[in-house]
Amino acid sequence: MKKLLKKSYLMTGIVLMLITAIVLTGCSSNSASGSSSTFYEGKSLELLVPFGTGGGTDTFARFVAPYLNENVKGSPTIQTVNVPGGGSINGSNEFVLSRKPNGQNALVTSGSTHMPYFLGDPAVKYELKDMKPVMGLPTGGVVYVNPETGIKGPKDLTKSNEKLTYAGISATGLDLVTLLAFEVLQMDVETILGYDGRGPSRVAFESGESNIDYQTTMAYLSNVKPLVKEGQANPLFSFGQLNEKGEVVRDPAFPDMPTLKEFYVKAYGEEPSGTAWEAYKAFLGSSFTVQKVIWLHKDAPKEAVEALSQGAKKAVEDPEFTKKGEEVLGGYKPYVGDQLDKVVKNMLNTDEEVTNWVKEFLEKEYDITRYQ
Amino acid sequence: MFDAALEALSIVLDPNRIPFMFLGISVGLLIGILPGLSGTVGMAILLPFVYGMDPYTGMAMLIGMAAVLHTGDTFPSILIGMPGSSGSQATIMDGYPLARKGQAGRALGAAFFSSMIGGVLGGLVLLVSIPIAKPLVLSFGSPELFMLSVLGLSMVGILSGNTPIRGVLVGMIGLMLGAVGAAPAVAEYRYTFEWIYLFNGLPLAVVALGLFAFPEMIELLAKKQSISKSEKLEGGWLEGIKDTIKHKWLVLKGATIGSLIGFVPGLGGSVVDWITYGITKQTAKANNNFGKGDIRGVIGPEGANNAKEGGALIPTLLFSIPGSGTTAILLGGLSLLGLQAGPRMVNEDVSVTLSIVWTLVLANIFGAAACIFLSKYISRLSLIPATILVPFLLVVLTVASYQSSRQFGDLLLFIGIGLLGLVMKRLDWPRAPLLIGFVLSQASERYLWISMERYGFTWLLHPGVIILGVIIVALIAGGYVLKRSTEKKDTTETANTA
Repeated sequence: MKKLLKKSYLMTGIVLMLITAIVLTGCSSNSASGSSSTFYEGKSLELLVPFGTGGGTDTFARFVAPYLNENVKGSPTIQTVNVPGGGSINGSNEFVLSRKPNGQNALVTSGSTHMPYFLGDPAVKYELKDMKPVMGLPTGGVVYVNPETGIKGPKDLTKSNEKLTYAGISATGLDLVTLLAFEVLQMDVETILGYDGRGPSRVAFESGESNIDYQTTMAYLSNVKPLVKEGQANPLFSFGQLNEKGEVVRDPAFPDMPTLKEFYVKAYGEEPSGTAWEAYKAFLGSSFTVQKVIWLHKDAPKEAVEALSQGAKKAVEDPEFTKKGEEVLGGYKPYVGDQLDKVVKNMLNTDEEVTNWVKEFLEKEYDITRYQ
Repeated sequence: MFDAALEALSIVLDPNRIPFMFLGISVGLLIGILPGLSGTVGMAILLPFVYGMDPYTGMAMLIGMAAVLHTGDTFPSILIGMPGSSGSQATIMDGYPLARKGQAGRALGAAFFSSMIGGVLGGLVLLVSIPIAKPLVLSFGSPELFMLSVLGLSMVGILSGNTPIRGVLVGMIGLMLGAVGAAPAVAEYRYTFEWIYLFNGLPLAVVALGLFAFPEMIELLAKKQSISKSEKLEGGWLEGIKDTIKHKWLVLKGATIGSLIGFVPGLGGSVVDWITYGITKQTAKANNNFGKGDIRGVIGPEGANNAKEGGALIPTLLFSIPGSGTTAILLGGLSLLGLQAGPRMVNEDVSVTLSIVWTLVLANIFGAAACIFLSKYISRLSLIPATILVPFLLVVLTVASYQSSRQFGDLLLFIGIGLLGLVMKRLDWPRAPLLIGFVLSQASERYLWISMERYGFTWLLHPGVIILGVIIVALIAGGYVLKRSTEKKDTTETANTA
């Protein structure tokens, strides 16, 4: 009897283990709820994040969720669901192919989702042109060099003391914008790709493995600014932001820093032009100016798009949103409403000629034939 | 610094924060105990709750989870021979044989006690290395990182017992499996057949579970017996603690290796326990009992895998370079808490960093104590007949595999690798080398590529590269010589007795 009891005790233990395992599988998402009126009254909204938990896009989605819940009419319950894999192609495909376009499913994309779309990756099944954006978040970046190169400004561009070496991750990621910037400036930079992320590539810069590098806004402010102060890095230019008219303007996070355009003008005495420059602008838009976008399906109900856009507008105006989101938003104000539509349209209106040029550029310089 | 440390301790011990640390600890232990679920899952579960907490509370919860994960994951490794989390399998090598001899209690006691000491030492290493972290991290360039992966790969021979050639072959298969998916340096996909599931490569958890857990289940079923061959469980946890104290230098060695390798960014923590196991075996006297139930084979890696967490936090917090899936999510948690990893963590936000150190220390002590208390009950798992135990395990393992990327491919891969593992086990081919090759495949390719691109062949002359090269050669040659001499001794001994 005693033995039997012990056995059943154990069995209960195992069953408990099982139950927790199953419950745990299903609960890696958060939720919030409330009630009011209109389309989302009593409904829920699922934010599909095509990346793993804890990454930039996931953090953005999780940060925005409670503000959308508060500000969207009807206060929908909002859940964040991660579908990682395939460098975000996987989850985005799943969104368009198998999630219902009933306004209760939204997709959160990032620059690395837009990139394979523009390059025409055969695995991509999503058509961004048809989808309805409701919120977009910009980010920026700054290119800096090691002072030992002797480069201080636009005039010294071609007079480097040593060979310029850039440590990057992959030519088809955010690095593409940097590589195009070098192309625009006609700089001779040896590119070494394969680093594990922007953090490791910054360490490569600090340890002397590379001598020219870029970091995105938040990483620049917290990790590179101290280096600039210590005299171990010279900032050259910021990538800038693409405005509603498709022009490169100063980055609000770096109001005192020249953009690539101004830098070019100072170096060469004329405005940049040509296909490389057009390509730079196109990929600057999709990789930085609208780095993260929340979308609804193309055939989502009109009321849903309307309610969510209005809610996003209200959320962005919430002073607490800006205050609490300093680290997550990187000091930028998200695009909403008409402005968002315009920047997204700009980003999507890329000439075929330009994308073809980029594909050729990738093949010629980096042996990438996947997109041909 | 001392005042700041005391202040941080009082922050951590604030009655309003303690419950959250314990919540983290309990989740960590539970995730550890469930075979196959690793720190990434634990982080993913806790992350949503972080929202709105103050930084100290949030960190106490997340770090509490990460700190004890490798304490809890010892249970399945020792009791059922299945990896408790993807990053910790070396304990199986000797812990499981001990459990089969009926000495589960002893093995667990030794494991938890060395985990605790290792974890506390890891926390101290984090504290001490804050001022010297920068030059240390910067001294590891790509060539040095490549040599470290080679050091890991050189364990392949040591871990293959009497069949080093087989070990090398299996290790190469591991390297090849690791090459599936997106290539590290060019925008190409390898062996994916345009199947999106394979774009990100094979998930480590599925490979580890398939390789170790699946064959074990089949064998248990085939033999229709419980894990422990003897009906009685001899040797309590006290004996294990005594073992650990006896081998105190081994714990220290394990903890040192653990925190050092944990701290090197880019290598990933998953090989720490294997490297420690290899070195422990290689440098131990009379090491022919390793793999058959030598308590030292438990103490070394267990001391290391908890110490690793402290080391791994250095590049994460100071350079925002996550060394593992767990620390990658931790970075996300930091920004949700309004913090940004970087030099600020040792200047303006030093109190948060110090509170992390304290949490590591406290969580390791509490976690080990809880495990020792629980071990009395949980170690009875090894007495359950296989026909009852295995169906439950099968469900747990399937859920755990599917958790990796929540795609159908996870299940197919689990069965595929599982069958491979079964064949290897039956034919007595070593399986650990496959895992080592798999884990180090990306890192070794990446850093070799970068080294060649950046330096040509001149990287071979970097001082760090030469030092690591000498260590590797010494380890391999030392092992060979040691083996020859013990073999000779064995033969003379047998000759004498004959």
